[in-house]
Amino acid sequence: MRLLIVEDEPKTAALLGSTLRSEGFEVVWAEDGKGGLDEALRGGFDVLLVDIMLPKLDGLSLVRELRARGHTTPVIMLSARGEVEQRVEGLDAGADDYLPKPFAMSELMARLRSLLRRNSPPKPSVLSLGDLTFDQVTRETRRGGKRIELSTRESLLLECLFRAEGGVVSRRDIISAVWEYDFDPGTNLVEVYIRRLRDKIDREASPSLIQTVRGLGYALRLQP
Amino acid sequence: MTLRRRILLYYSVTLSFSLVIVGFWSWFEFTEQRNEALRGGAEAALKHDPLFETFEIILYGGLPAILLGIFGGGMLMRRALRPIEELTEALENTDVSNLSDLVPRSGNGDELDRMTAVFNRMKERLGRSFTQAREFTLNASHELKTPLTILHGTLEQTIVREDATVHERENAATMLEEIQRLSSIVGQLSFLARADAGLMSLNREPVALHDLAGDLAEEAALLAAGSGITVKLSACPPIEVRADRMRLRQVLLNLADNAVKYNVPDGSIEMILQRGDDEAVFAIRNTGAALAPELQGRVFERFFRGDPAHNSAIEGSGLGLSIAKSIVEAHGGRIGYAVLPDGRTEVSFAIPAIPPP
Repeated sequence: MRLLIVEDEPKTAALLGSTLRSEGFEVVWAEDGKGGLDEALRGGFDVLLVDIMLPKLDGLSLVRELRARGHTTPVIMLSARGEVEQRVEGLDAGADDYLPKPFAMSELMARLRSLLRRNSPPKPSVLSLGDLTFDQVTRETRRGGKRIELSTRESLLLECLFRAEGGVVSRRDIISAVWEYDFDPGTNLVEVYIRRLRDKIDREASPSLIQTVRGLGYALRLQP
Repeated sequence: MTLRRRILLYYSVTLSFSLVIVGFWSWFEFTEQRNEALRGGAEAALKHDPLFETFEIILYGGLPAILLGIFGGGMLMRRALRPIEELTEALENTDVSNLSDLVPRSGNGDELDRMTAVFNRMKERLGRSFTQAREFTLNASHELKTPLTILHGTLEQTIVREDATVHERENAATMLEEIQRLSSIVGQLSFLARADAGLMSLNREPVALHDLAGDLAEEAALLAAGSGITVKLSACPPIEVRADRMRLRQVLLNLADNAVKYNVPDGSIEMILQRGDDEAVFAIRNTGAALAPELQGRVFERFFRGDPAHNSAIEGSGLGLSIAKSIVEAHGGRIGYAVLPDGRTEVSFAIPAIPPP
C-alpha cells in the first residue's frame, strides 16, 4: 500500500510516517500543497492524507484540482479547524473522509481500513470471531450457537468493534458510530454500554472477547 | 449650539412669554382704569383699590405666566435634555452583543454630541477587546490541536511497542487519558469561542422534542442505574421545534449527565416536557444538594463547578452548562437554574415551538 502525506508540519508528518510505516504502508511526504499535487498527479497511491492548511496551495484546492483532472484516489483530509463546516467543505471538495485534529493514530488507522475496504470484495454478511457470530443484515448475534438478544445500540457497538478487525476502537469513534454524536458527551455512556455488552457476550463464555486497552479504547479480539 | 446656550435660550423664551402675559394683563387693567377715569372723573378712578388691582394682575396675568413657565419651560427643557435621555438609554442597553451598534450623534458639536462621540469610541474599544479575547481563545485552541495530536500519537506508539515494560505502558496510558481530557476541553473552548463570535452553525429542521426526551430518559436511566438513581419522564406531550437535532441532543445529554453526577446515591431524577406560550419547555429536576444562594447565579459561567469543597471528585470540565446555554440561546431560547420549594434543583430551558396543527 502506497500512501502520500501532504502536511507542512514536520513533526506531525514524521509521526504519521512512522506510524503508517509500522503498519506496513509505503509512505511519501510532500510538505506543501503544490508539491503534494504534483506528487499525487504522478499517481500510484492507494490513499492520500491531506492537511487543509498548507502553504502554496491549500488542501481543499488540491483535492478539487485532483478530482477535476479525473483522479479518484481516496483522500482523507486532516484539519486543526475541526468544525462541522470544514468537514462539509472537505467532503464537497471531493475528499472521502475528514479527520479533525487532535486525533488518535488508532482513529486514523480505522478510517484508512474502512476506506481501503471499499475497494475490496464485500465481506460476508455474517461476521465471526471464535464462537461469536454477528449477522450484519438480520442483526442476529450468537455465542457458541446460543442466541443473544441485543438492543439496537448494543448491536451497533458490537458491529463497530467487529469492523475494526481486532484493532482498537477509540471512545470517540464508538460515540460517533453508536450515537452519531459529533461532540464529546462527557458522560460514561460508552463504559456503561461496554459493560452491558460484556455481560451478554463474555460473562458465560470464555475466552473474553471484548478487551479494554487502557488509554486507547476497546477491541474485539481473541488475544491481547 | 452648546447645551448651555440652548438652555439659556429656552429659559429666556419662557421668561419673555411670561412677561408678555403679565404686560398684556397690566395694559388691560390700566386701560380699563384710564377709560373709567375719563368717563367718571377722579371719583370713578378712586373706586379701584390698588391692592385689589395688584391682586387681579397677579391672579390673571401672573398665574398663567407661572403655568406657562412651568409647562412650556418643562417641555422646552425636556427637548433640550432629550439627547441625554437617549444616551442614558443607550448606556443602559449596552451589553456584549451590541457593542458594534453606535449611538446616533446630533452632529451639532455640543457637549452632548461630544459625550456621545466619546461613548461610541469607548464601545468600539470594548468591542475590540472582546473580539481579541474571543479570537485569542479560538486561536489558542487551534494552536493546541497539533501538539495534542503529536503527543497522543507518540504515546500510542509507546503503548503498542513490543519492548515496552508494563510500567511504561501504564504511564503512557495515564498520560493518554489526560491528553484526551485536555483535547476535550480544547474542543469545548473552541466551540464556545465560535458560539461567542456568532459562528455556531445550526442545521435547523423540525425536530420531535418528545422523541428526544424519550430517548434521553432511557439513556439517563442507564447512566444513573450504577448509583441507584431512578429516572422518571413524568410529562412528554408531542412538541415539535425547529432546531439543530445534534445540538439539542447535546444540551439534553449534558443536563441529564449533570443531574446524575450531582445527585445523591439512591436519589431521583424527574424530567418534564411541557408546551408553554409558543414554546417548548423542558425541565430536569434532581435530588442533589442545592447550590448556596450566592452561587446559583453562576452555574452557567465557564469552568464553574459548584461548591469546590464537595465536588472535586466529580469529573467534568465545568464547561457543559455554558455550552448548553450558548446552544439554547442560539436557538432563541433561554435556560435557567432554580431550587424548588421541596429542595430539588431544576435546570430548565425553553425554545420556540412549532405551533400544533
